[in-house]
Amino acid sequence: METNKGTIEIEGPPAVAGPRVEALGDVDDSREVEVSLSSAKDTMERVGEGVLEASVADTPRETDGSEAFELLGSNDQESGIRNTPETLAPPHLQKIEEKIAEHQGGIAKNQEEIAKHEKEIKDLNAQKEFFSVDNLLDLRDKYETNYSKALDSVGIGRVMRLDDALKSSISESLKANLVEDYIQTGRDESDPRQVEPEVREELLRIISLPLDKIKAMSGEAAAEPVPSATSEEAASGEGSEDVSAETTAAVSETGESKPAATRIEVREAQEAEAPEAAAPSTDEGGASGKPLTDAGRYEQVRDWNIADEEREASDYAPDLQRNEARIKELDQERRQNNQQWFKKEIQRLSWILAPVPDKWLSEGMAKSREVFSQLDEPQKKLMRRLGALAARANLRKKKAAE
Amino acid sequence: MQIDENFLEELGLGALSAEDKQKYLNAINETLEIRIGSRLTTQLNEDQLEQFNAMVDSDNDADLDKWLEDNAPNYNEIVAEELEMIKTEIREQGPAALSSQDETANA
Repeated sequence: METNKGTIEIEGPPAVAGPRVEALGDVDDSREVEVSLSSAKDTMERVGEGVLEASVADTPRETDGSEAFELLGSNDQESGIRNTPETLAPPHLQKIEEKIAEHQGGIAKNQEEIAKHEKEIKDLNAQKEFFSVDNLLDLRDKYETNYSKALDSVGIGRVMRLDDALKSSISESLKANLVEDYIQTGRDESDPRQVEPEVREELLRIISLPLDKIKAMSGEAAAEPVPSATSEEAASGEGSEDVSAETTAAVSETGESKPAATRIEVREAQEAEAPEAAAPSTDEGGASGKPLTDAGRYEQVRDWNIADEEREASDYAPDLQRNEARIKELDQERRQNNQQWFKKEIQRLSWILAPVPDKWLSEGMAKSREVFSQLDEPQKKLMRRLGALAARANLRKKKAAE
Repeated sequence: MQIDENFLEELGLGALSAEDKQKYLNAINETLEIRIGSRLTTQLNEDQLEQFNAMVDSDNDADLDKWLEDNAPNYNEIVAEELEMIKTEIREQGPAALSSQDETANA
C-alpha cells in the first residue's frame, strides 16, 4: 500500500481561476484525500491501489475540474496518485453545459431585449426629430403654403383672406370696446373672462353690425372721452356732449346716483329714451331684431364677401371681355401658325422621304423626265443621243474658243 | 459649260456629299440631254433624224459636230437656254436640298 503524504502544487491554465491544486492529508488508508481547487472543494476517494475516484461537489466555478485533475495526474509519479478524470468529467461537464445553455438562453433573451430597446430608441429618435421645433415650423410653413395654394386653386383663397381681414377688423373693434368697458367698470382688462353678461351681450350686438358701422363705432370709441362719469358729473349733468349727457339723463330718470356709468348703461338709456333709434341696429344684425348667433354672423360676413366678389366681378367684366377677345385672336393666330407649320413640316418630311436625287429635281426637271419616260425606247435613245451630242459639241466649241 | 462639281459649287451645292453630288450631276446631265434632245427633235424632220440615227454610233466627233451644225445651227442657243433654265431651277431648289440633307443627317 502506498503512502502518499505532503502537498502537491499544480499550476493550471490561465482560464482556471486560482489554478492551484493542493492535495492534502494522509491518504494512506484513510482512502480519502482532499483537494482544494481554488475556492472549491473536491473530494477524492481512493478506490484501489493508486486509484482515486473523485466526486466533485459544490463546484459553481469558472474552473474546469477535469483539467485540474489532469494536471493532478501529471504529478502521478511524484504523488503516487492516479486519478481517473473521466469519472469526474461527465457530471461536471454536464453542469457546465447546462450552465452554458442557460447562459446562451439568457444571451438570446438579452439580444431580443437589446433589439427591442434599439427599436424603441430608433422610434423615439424619429419622434424627437419629427417633433423638433425646426421640423414643426417647417411643417407648419408647408401646411400653410399648401393650404393657401389649395384654397387659391379652388378660387376661395381670396374670399378666405377677406374673411380673415374682416375678422381681424372686428376683433380690433371688440378689443377697443372691451378696453373701454373695462376702463369704465374698473376691471382688469387682461382677464376677458370677467366680462359681465351685459357687456358680452353688447359686444355680440356690436359684432352683428355691418363692418362699416363697427369701424365707425370703434372710431367713435377711440375719439370719445372715456365716460368715466363721476358721481359729481352724473349728478351735475356735466360731461361729454353725447354719451355723458345721456348718462346723466339715465341717472336722473332713475333718480339713483351711481359712481360710474358704464357704456352699456348709457346704451340702455338710449334705447329706453329712443327705442326707434336703437331698433335699426338690431334689425341690421338679424331679421328677428335679436342679436345674431355665431352662425348668423358668419353667414352675414359670408354674404358681404360674396357681394364684394360680385361687385369686383362686374368691375372686371370689361377687362375680362377684352381678354377673352384677345385670347380668341391669339388662338386663331396659333391655329394658323400651326397649319402653316404642319404644311411646311409635311413638305419637309415628303422631301426627306423622297428618293435621291429625284427629290432635288425641280418641277420642270421632273416633268421633262416624266414626259421622256413615256416615249418608246428608240425615241428615247435618239433624243438622249441628240441632246448629248449637242451638249458635247457645245462644250467642245467653247473649249476650242477658249 | 461643263456639268461637274464646279457647276454645283457655283449653284451653292458644294456641301453635298460626294455620292449625292455624283447622283445629282447624273440627274442634271440626263435632264439636260433630254431637254436639248427634245427641242432639237421637234425641229428636225424624219429624214434628218434617220440620218442622225445612222451616224450616231460613229466615233467621229468631227462628223457628228458638222452634221449638227448643218442640221441644227441654233443648238448652241438651245443648250445655253436649257442650261440656264436648269441652273435657275436648281438655285430655287438647292437650299432646300441642302437643309433637308442636313436634317436627314442629323435625324
